[in-house]
Amino acid sequence: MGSEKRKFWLYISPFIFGFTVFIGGPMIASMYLSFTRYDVLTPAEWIGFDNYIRLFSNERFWDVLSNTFFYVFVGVPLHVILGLAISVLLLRAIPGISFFRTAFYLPSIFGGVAILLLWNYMLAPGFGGQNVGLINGLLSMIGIEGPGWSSDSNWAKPAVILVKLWGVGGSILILLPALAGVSKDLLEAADIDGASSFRKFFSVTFPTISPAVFFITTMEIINTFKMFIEPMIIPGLDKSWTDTLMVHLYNNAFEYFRMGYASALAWVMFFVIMVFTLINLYFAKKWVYYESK
Amino acid sequence: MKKILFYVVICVFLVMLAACNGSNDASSSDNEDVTDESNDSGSSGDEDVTISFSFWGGDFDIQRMEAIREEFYKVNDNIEVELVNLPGHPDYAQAQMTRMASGDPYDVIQMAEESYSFAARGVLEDLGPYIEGDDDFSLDPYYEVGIDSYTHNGTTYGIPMRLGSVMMFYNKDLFDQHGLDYPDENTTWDEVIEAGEQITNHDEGVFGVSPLGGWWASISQFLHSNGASMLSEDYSEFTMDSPEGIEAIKLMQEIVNERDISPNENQIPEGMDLWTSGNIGMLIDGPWHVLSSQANIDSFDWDMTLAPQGAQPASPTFSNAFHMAKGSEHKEAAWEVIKFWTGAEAQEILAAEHGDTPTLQDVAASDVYLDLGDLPPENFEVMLESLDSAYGPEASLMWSEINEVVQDAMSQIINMNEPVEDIMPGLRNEVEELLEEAERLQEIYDGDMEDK
Repeated sequence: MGSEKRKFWLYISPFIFGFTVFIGGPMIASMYLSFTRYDVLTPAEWIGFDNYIRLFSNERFWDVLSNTFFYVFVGVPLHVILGLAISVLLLRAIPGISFFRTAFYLPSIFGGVAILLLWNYMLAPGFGGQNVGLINGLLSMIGIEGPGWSSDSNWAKPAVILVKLWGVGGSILILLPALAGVSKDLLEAADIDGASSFRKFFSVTFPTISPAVFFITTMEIINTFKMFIEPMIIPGLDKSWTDTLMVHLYNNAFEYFRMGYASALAWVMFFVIMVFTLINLYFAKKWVYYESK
Repeated sequence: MKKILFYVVICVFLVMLAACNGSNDASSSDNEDVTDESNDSGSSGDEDVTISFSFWGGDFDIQRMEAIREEFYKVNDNIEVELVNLPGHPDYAQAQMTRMASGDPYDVIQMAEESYSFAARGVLEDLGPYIEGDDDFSLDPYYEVGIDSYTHNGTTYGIPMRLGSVMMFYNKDLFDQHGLDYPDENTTWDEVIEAGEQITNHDEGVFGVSPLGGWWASISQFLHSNGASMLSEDYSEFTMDSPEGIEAIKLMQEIVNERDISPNENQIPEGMDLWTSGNIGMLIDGPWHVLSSQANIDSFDWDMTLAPQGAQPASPTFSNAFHMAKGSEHKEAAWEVIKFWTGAEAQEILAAEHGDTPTLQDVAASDVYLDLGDLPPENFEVMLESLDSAYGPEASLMWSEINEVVQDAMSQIINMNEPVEDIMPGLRNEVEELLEEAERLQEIYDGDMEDK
């Protein structure tokens, strides 16, 4: 082995070690456990495909799967579009723009349970006109009677998505530099050719920033599939309206002593996320533009 | 080159798998050690040992535990007690599972309704031999309901220090305003409804009765007082849809929806406590409201009595108990700790808080506990009376999951006003499936026990 190669193995060994011990090993273990009845406290017992059969015949699983898809198909596009729209606005050199940039980014720093609890207050529908939360209060000012949010089967999922949009600042942080990097020459050339603002955006700006958009879309899809705390803290009146795959997994693994079933669920999730990521990658070839190519 | 990488990865995997199996072996041999260990009990008596003691709770609980430990050190100088305050439900059980799976459990473990789920899986020590072998200790002075809650199939796994039942608290001012008699120990649900109708005033946000059916004790109190139950006595059958059960559930639905004298989930405001702000006539809930009401209510007078009766009085009882891990290495010392923590000295420290009821009947009946001085409530003694009709939670092997599906169904009935007849068949199916699973698991565990 040449010294270059030896160095390569030396430098990469921490990753290989970490991956095998903390990711690869547990993955293989969970694959095995998904074919067993395992409750952590007593030895695992091989039961073949029982966990998977049970999983697919469980009504709750289909509920949480369709909820998760709803969050992915409705929440992710909203997140990306909103992130793009705000980024475009924040690019303008108007007085006090740094204040606005900070203001839009700040919420994604303050995340977690505390903020979600505040959202519970903000989304409160109130009763008989009393104790109405901020959101419905604002809506009533412009003459709209706000929905019951978590207590309404049609609005419980949108409420979760609304809360998740709070973290859009993280994407703005990626989109803003990408937008700033769009070539002024190209935009000017388009101007001279008489292109409209829309035309400029879709023909010049968007192709240039498409790798950034692709990145946040992919990450958002994966994160949304794994979504956990939002439905835990802001559950619908009936939890089957809002629970995600991850919540179902957590309940089974850590509350109901069903580690085997939860492992099976984790593998099903793994395949679902993988299929969607592959589809995403496939279509990416058609719209993502890399300058180096 | 690629081949080398491949072999490296494979080797590491194999090592890891071996390690995994190794730990499994270790834990099973641990269990064997355990049975051996009880033979050479007493070996730890002379040496200094450290007992880890895990519990959940807030500042109040931590202070109490530390105060008891101080007393313990006065009479015991070779046992060190390491108090470990863990986050409460649901993380608590998860933390215990992880410690047990890694073969390093806490020696003494506070547990409540999940006690049986752990005991059935053979990770908790049978306290019977310690109780019998200890001349200084007897179960007789304890409230029976406290001990029963931690005795599963004839084996005692835990000893409780404190317990309390569902009580009824009432806002005297609201009763005076409407010229109503205060409720007492014989108040029935019919009388509660009657008074509730008068007190309820939607314009002012005042409800006669507190929210119903939001958690197991509320559901259970209503069912039991009307002669029904969630499960049969041996937890083998679902009995909630018996004629009495259906009638009771319909009455709950009626109180919340048609009569609208108890708020449903949507009518409970965020960030405001209906009871302490004086917007509830009768609060039917756990005994912890004594301490929180003393601390938070100054705008009205209040008192307490027994939870309402239907066909019979019913006081579902909460408690938690100290268990010993089967994998503990210092069982004799752990027993000394459990014994002291549930003994009279420790319980007097608890009693002085005037909150939860001490499980030793003498301590509970003493002035240390019952004499509140000038503080409300006047009828504090009913805390003891409630224990006459007390019973523990229906903590079957599937406790947390059955609870979850029952609560979901009750929420549909009470909060969404779905017809009881539409919900019950589905609930029965779900619970029956869980009970069948419980039965299967029980057989496996019983088999495992016999093997050992």
